[in-house]
Amino acid sequence: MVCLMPMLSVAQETVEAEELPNIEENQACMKCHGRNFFEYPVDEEGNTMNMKMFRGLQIDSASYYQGTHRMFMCTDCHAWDYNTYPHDNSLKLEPKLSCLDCHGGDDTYAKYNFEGIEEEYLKSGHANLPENTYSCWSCHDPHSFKMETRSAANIADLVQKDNSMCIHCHGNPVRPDYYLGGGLELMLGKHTWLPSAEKHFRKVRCIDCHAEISEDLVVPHHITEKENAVRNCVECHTKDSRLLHSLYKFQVMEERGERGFVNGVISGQSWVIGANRSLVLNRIGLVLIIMVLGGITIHSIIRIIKK
Amino acid sequence: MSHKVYLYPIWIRLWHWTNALLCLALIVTGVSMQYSNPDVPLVRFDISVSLHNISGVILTGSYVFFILGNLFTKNGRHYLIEMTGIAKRLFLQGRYYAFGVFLKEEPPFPIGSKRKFNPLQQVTYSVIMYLAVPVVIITGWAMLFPEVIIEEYLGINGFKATDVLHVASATLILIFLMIHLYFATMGKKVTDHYKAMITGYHEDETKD
Repeated sequence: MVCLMPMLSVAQETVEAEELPNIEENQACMKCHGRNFFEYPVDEEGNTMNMKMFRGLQIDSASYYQGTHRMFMCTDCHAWDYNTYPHDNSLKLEPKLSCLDCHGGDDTYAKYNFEGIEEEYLKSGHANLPENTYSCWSCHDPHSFKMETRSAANIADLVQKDNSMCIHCHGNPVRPDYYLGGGLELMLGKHTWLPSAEKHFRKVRCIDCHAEISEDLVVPHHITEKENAVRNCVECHTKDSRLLHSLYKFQVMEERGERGFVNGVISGQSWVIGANRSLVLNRIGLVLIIMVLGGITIHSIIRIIKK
Repeated sequence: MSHKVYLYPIWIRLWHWTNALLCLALIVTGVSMQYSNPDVPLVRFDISVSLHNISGVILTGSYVFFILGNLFTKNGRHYLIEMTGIAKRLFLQGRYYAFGVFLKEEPPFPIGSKRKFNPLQQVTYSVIMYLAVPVVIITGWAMLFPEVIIEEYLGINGFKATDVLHVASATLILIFLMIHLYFATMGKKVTDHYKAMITGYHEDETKD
């Protein structure tokens, strides 16, 4: 319990206690999985030895209790037999749930269109990776998942979090199967053709260029081959910017825009040349140019007549 | 009998035509980016970006050359506005352009070796060269290196403010250029002023 207290205090900063009905029950699991080592019984006299907890089995309880699935008991998703410790080895073969196992075919979640997400994901190269090497959880850890696309006040934060999902594998040299570069510098090396690449990485998500837009989904999930990634600047840098259909799609749906600017939904958070324009400046400029052209025309005509 | 005065030394002519070409390139590529449309591309976006950046950098050099030229030659004095009676002089020159020119009146401020600009030219050239061009250059460099731009200040998006300022000053320069090109046709012959900026010799409008 002592080790849980600081984590709870972090969690309680943003989450009310009544939203965490199973915090006590989960403590038995968090006692080991909430730390980077655990005590393993070595004899029947109660002696233990400290062993390292594999990173993939560690749960950050602060993130868990701020996540979307915070109200669940661990054994709501994992086998009840995990209550027995040490765990039976056969539990490792426990089939893992996918998003659709809970969210599929349920009208409660219809607006999120989990079926559509699955359909788009299956078109991606990720779906063709060897069995059990890739799943929804590879990007969306259910133990810390937060639904941020629909609530993000700051798009730059959303971009950073989303891009970290891609970098986690594609920038990780210990995963040679997925390794595409590694680190920001090397990722920049893969995008030398892109002007101000680092600025782009901070302002747009990888998927905004590397995923095919689906009108039915807020977040596109069909990650395309790199050959099909967007390289035509004007797809984003124009009035009908691609970003309105991807990164800013939810804001567009909610009609959260800034007045006085073309594509004010973007200009409130960022500024995309070609997509964002000041309406006032446009109108003043146009009126002045028309007036000057009109004046020159009239002046020229009178000059010709009076010649 | 009219005679000609050597009004535009070689360095001014070189700077002027370099500046003219750069401004045209920057306006065309700038408009291509600002109003980019995949269906009606004026200049392809990535080409526009490269050309705009290169032209902008050269324009900066050209501007520094102009400033140094004005500092170390007598050309700079033509940009110094005598504020006393400026309103009346501007009115007289405006009236001449609006009416006098059609009535074949003599220009109120004839161009000669001592006066290169009439009052309207002096004010507009000074505003453009000492206000609009520096703003467009500074904001342009800021957008070339966007990491130097303050992301947000007093709730204003720094990049937005920089771009709006850049486009506003560029629009002002475009409008100036349109008027400048037209007024350059108002010599005795339509091409006289254009020729003067090539040869350096201008028709002396002052009376002997």
